[in-house]
Amino acid sequence: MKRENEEMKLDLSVQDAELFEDTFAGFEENAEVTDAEKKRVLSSVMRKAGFEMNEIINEKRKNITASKTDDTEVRRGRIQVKRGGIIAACIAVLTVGAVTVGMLHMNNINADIPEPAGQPTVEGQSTDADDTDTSDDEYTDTMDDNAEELLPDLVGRKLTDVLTEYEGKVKIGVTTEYNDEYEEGIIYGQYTPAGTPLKDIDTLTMIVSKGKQKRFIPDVSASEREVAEEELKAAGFKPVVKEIFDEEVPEGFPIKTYPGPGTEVLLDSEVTLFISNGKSGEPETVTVPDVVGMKKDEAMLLLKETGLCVRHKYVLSSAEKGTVVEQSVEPDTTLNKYDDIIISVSDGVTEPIKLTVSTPLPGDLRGSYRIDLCDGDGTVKYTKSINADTLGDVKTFDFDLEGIGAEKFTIIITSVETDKSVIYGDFAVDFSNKTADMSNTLNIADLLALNPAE
Amino acid sequence: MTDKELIEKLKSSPQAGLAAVVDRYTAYVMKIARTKLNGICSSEDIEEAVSDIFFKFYQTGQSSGFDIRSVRAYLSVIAGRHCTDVFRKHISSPDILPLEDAGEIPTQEPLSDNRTTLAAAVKKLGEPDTSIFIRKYFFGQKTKEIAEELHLNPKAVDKRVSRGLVKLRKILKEEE
Repeated sequence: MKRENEEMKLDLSVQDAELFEDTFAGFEENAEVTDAEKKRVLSSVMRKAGFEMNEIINEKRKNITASKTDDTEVRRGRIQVKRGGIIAACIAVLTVGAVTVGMLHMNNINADIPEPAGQPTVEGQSTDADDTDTSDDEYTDTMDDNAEELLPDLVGRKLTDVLTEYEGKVKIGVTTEYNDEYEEGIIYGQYTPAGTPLKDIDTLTMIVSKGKQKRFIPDVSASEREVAEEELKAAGFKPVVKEIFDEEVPEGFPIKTYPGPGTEVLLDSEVTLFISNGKSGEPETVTVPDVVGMKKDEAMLLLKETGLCVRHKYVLSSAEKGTVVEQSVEPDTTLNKYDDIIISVSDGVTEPIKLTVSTPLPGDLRGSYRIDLCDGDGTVKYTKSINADTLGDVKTFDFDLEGIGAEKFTIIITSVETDKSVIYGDFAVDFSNKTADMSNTLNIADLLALNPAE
Repeated sequence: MTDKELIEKLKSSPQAGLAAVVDRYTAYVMKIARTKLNGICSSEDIEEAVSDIFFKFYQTGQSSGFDIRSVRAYLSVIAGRHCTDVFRKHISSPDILPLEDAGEIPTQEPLSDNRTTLAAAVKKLGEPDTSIFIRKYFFGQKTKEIAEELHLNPKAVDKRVSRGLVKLRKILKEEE
């Protein structure tokens, strides 16, 4: 095999490589880079490309008149300023990128963010950066620190607090990343440096922790026991096998997992894999307890201890947030051990929360399409029609969503002409926090394949 | 940002375009470089290779006026070849040559018929075999990693590779 490997070493040309767009996109899926690495690469690339001489943005505001009599000092001072300039320029441009990426990830945290990514305002920002005057004559200290509000270091603060504080003062862009150190919702990085006067900030861009990395549990129901275990391991989970009686599933095959497929749970979590031991023997039974009125966590614990697989969903209710208002199986019912039960938990609101989510489309999409948003059960919840030809160069579509708690949506786009569909992507909406987060890359290649023939 | 938007940006404002490409694709290029160079180079060298790849992308792209159809495909080819160069240099000599000596990356060089046929044949294998072959033979990913990322059993990956090789020979023979 080794010899074959060497013989088979693939060296693709650009034309060849274009054949494998989808494969490359698949390879990109687990690609990760830290913010610091990205900044270092950006800074290095810009330096190599010779851009450092042209871009001095924020630093020109600093007073660097000191040491003008000392050649060495002045030179050093200028080098520092220019380096600072490079970094400032990179950050400025990166911010544009970050906003765009943020939009791609649909961090539509704030209904006030007026323009989708790629709109002229974003272009405008980068043009401003390009046009920045580089004349050394402009190195004057124009700052009056007492009169200006400066951006503080936001790292470690809650996003919701920062939103409340800065909403209306500056445009806000957020990218979210998994982070083991910072809890979900805590800012752990900012592209806009601390100390920047608020009036100079086009978009305040922050990186917010999504908490520890989570993964979706795969559907392993069609695989045999060993394969199902391997599949769960490969997906990043620790399978715990439980053999139980089942009338329908043949012996040795999975009945279900707990939590179920499609549930997003922490990487390395234990996932129970229920394997059928066939029809032999009598199933163990349990009596369903009454959990209505209990707190969600208490209810889930009690039901689990009883031996049931419990899921929860949030519902509109005037009851205190987090209280169980309904259970899918009546109390005192006898169920088989490990049967499913769903509890409805009050979200503490009686009116659904409204949120607009904007999704980008490839610029070269043509033709008419129907876009369906399906919920976790595959039910179409929202539908709209678009004509890509009338959307202009930068194409997006918006959905006005209403809901509570957290919900997952899959975007299915169907060509009106051919009736062919693609799953374009999926995203998770947290109505309580007004966030929407794209979990996978958008399936642009397949969508473009639906373009009508010339 | 889509590749088309990136290309438009590169054409209208190369600096902002380059920054946007780096922002969009650093994770991807870093993954290619790590896959090919982990254990051979330090993490600093891998980072340097990533920045060289973007710089080469910019240089070669600029020479053609960014007449590119797919940024990802273009970067993949440059990354693949640059990492191979870095790999060879590290194996043959402990010192890395400066960037200028690393050789040009011809991106639109005349195609070798054999290679095109091979690429087309790999494409014909169909999924998940195409992905397995590209990951294994183009990116140099290990079976275990391929299995993890494609949610397959490592044994299944190896099996698909050996069956795929037989299938490839058949396809290539038919086309001869």
